[in-house]
Amino acid sequence: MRRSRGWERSGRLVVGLALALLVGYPLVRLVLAAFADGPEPVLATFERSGIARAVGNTVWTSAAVTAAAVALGTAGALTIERGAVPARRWLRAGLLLPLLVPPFVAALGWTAGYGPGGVLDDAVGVAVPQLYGPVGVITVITVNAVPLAYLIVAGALRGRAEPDLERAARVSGASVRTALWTITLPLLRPALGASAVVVFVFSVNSFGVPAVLGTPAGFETMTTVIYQNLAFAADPDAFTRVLVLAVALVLVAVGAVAVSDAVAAGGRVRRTGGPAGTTSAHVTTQGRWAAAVAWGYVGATSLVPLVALVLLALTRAVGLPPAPRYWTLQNFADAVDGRTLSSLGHSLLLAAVAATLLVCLGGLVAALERSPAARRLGTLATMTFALPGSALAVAVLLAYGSVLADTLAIILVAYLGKLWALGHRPLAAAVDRLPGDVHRAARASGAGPATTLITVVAPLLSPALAAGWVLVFLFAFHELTMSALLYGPGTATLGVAVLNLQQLGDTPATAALAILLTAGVLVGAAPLLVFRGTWSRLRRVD
Amino acid sequence: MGTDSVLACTGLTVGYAQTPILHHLDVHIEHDESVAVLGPSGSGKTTLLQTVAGFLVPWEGEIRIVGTLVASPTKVAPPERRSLGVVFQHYALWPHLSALDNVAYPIRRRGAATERARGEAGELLDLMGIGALGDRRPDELSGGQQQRVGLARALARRPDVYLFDEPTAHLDAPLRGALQEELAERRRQTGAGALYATHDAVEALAVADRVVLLRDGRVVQSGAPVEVYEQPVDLWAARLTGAASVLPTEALASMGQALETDPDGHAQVLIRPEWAALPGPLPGLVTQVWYRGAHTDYRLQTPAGDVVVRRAGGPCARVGERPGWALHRCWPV
Amino acid sequence: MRTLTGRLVQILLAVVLVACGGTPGEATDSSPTTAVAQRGGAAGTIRLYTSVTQDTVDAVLQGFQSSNPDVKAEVFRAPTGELNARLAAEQRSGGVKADVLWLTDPLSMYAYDEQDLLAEWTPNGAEAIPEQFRTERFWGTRILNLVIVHRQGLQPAPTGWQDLADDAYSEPVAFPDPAFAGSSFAALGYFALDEEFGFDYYRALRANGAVEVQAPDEVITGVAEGRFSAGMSLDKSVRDAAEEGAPIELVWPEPGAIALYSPIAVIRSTTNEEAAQALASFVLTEPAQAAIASTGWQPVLPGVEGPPMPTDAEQVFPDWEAAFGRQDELLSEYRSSLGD
Repeated sequence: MRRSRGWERSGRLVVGLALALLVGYPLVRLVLAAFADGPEPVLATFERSGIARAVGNTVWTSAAVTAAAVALGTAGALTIERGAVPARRWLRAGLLLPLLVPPFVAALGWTAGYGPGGVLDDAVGVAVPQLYGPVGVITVITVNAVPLAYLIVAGALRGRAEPDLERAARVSGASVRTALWTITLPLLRPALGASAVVVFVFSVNSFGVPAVLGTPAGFETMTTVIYQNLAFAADPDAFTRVLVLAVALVLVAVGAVAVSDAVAAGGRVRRTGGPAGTTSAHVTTQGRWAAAVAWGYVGATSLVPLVALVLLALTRAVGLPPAPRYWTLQNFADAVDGRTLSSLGHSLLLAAVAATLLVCLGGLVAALERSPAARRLGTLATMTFALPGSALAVAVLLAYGSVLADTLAIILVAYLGKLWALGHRPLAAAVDRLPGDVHRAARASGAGPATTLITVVAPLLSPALAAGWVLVFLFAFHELTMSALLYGPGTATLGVAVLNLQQLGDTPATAALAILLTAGVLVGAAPLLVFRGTWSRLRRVD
Repeated sequence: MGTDSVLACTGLTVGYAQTPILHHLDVHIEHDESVAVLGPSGSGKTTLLQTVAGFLVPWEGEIRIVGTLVASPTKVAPPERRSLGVVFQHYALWPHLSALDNVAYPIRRRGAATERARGEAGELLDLMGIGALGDRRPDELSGGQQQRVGLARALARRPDVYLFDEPTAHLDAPLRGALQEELAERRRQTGAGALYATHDAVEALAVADRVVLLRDGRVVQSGAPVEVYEQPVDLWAARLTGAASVLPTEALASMGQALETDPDGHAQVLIRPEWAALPGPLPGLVTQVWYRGAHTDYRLQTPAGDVVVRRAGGPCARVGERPGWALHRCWPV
Repeated sequence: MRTLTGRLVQILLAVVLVACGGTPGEATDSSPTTAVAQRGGAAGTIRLYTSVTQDTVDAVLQGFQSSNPDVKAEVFRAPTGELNARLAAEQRSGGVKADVLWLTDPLSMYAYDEQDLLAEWTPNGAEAIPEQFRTERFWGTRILNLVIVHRQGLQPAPTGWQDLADDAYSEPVAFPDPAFAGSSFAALGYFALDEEFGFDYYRALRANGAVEVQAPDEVITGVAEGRFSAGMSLDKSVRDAAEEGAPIELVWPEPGAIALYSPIAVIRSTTNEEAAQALASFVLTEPAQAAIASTGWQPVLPGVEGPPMPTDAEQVFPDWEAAFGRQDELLSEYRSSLGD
């Protein structure tokens, strides 16, 4: 017993230290730098015209994105995980597709697909009128956020709202809809809260989409204002404004987390009884209809923009109709050179290491007792997730630039700080579901703490670990701003390559590189579809 | 089959994907009758319950509840339109609702106002003897208390048919007895039927008016508990319904036991432990002794094979002794 | 404490990365140079921070490396915003690591000059650069021209900046947001401070339904796709897109293209002054200017042949001296004249 205490204490020490180094210290440096010249510049920032409106725009668009993405993600999870739909696995993959596409690419795809002069406009003469402006910004961020909500809610559905609890409601006289509102959704409350936090923060710090779709309509958010100030950051006042707005962004996120935690706290319930019921595998007519609707959604939100992007990449120059006589592979050749390949290697390495480390850290948290401290950890990690990449990179440079500058390690530190929340949230939800006894049973059977972790806890958590790993990997792999700011000689990442290409102004070549990246990730993700089989087998053990 | 069946499943074939689980199954429950479907895991008990409850659609056949067609391959009434009360294997209590609100839920669904529903639910909890625990969440209740809540919830629905999925499998024996009695009493008052799915023979024989033995989705035997216990149709049915020894007829006769002539010419006989006695004229060596409180079971090695014999009271012979035994009755299989 | 924890983290991460097969801080090997034309005396490693487009940097550095084989030039290239953020962070934690700074536009350079970041040194031959493209501590390397781009076959084609405020182009014309990049700010610097235009010009544009996009390239994309009838963008990008077949045309506008220069300077705190000065003066040599021209930009030295331009091509210049320090004021008046 004594030894186990000691082990847990050192485990906590590692987690605490990691949190302090990856999240706490950079944040402190950021806040100190923002207040370096006293409170006047801070106050002055908010007195500037347009800032208050940008803050307002960020908050309300993020709230709208959260409502829409959580609703769609939940509907998708209920349909796919609980409903009797055909080709469940493919539908799931289709819904997760936006995860594989970096957001700025998604924005490009949407303009190419639905904008004036886009594919849809060419084909049937229809352009989505509101694409530029808040409606477009909200729509495209929502589409990119739905997979996040889906993953968290689907994970909870497997564990929390067991089919038998819904069946009990049905035989008690509740219709499908009543059972949904009185049983399924209340039981999902913690997961809905968790997904709302992740989606809200994801939306708050998204930059690529508002920059492409908001600016032409004069619609500014905090991230676009931050970027504008960055362009003038040679002026110390403008740089201070960047820091102040970044801190404000963190505060907005913390506020959202607090609200969500308060809402979710009442919904935290412990299940009783054993495993209860499995999902029906029988495909029904309603299931077919639901699947058709879901496929329609996937087609409109992922496939059309992707096809538009492919056409853009194949076309010789912007503005030419996507007809075969204008097709060329030159853009793909332009997109790839020796530098792209070496930076691809760096990005793969960084993404894999970041994902593995964060999942290990998450596993460690999981192995420790479930405590309020672990929940506070979630809140803390969310703060760095809320920082726009440029601000977090500045914070990391301030904190570690003097020793780690120009190494892959400093980019890794930034990735770990930024993406901790993504690796942590799915795990935290899963840990809640882990029966407390399994880990004690393993210890009573003679397993040491490490053996327990490897043989019992890790296998039980493997779906969540896999989800966390994949999320962190993809976000790190797609990351643009932080590495563009932090890289040094010989440590360029894919983000640097993409930004270089983008700045050359060659839109088709940028699209070509984006297509290659997406295709590469798709190929890499193929084994995951196989791994999902393990996932569904494992969820019986609960 | 009576005309006033509360539940009538006729020619039911159900399955998952391409694999049928139930094959042309006929199960009927009369007014005020309780039927136990007894079978090992995988025999199709749960599938039958799920089909009756409306969570699976039959491929063939139909289901009627009090005469009303609720399920056929072309017409399916949703679960909430079927007059059923279900007690789930793990109770399936809603963890976010108090015990009282769990029980009030079906009453609310009937359209009752919250206050009235809670009042009625409180009475049901009182009836179950846990009226004081209404405010507790399921995770604050013991297993037995949870089951009473589950039962009260099924009662609150006032159905024509109760479905029980392994109703008392997780309870200790005294609690089991008390609950079974309570339930039978309630049911008799309303004339509802009950369908128990269980793999526990003792429970099935005790609670049911009729027992249906299910094997691989087919009915092997159906009859009164005494009938299925004393006259099993085959060795599988015999083993399912209780302890049994099997001896070759010829060897038994050669030991000096007089046997009635079996018209079907079965080569073996089935001997329930209480059908034999100790001591007696037949030779046998005691190889094992189990003291079970009210009675004691002895395994005897005989020239015809091993046989288990039951005798009231404590052990009267030890391992290695040869007290001899007697056979009162047997059943050819 | 700070260094201690930092070192700990570094060791920890280094172990992890090495275990995963990476080498932190590995530097690109300078490929052995074959032809050595004229060997410079400078040696050692210098670091160039730049926001100039990658192909131009590559072309210039290639020439520099062959004439200075003993100098290893490490490049950090990032968009202006990221570059500024990195410099700001370095200024606040241990000092700027760059030896040479090469920016897209002069605005940030004025700020760094004001902060005494730049060395007081001018290369020989700087006087050959037209006066409006240099100061005492930094000087132009190439010229960016903001011109009019319009949809192919647009009738009547706009001929000058004033035309864009005309009813004929009420199908929106597009401008890059001056708040997003210094190059776009140059236009604001010119129009706002010019007597002929002033902020009235922006008010007229807005009344005509003009829209702003984030970057000059987006204007080209939008015009090519038919979203905008015309707009303002960079000459080089317009020429490139038109050459590839995009349905757009370039107009050298009246009274002139707005010309801005990409300045270079040596950082005061450089530890390898000789090599830094060698690089900074190399960009003014003819081979370097030719290399810049080969990537599509107008060289800053009058004698070097650049990309094709109209024979009577006029240029106008923003008054950077006057605009610097007034960015906030200009931008906020710009916003209000757009009615935001």
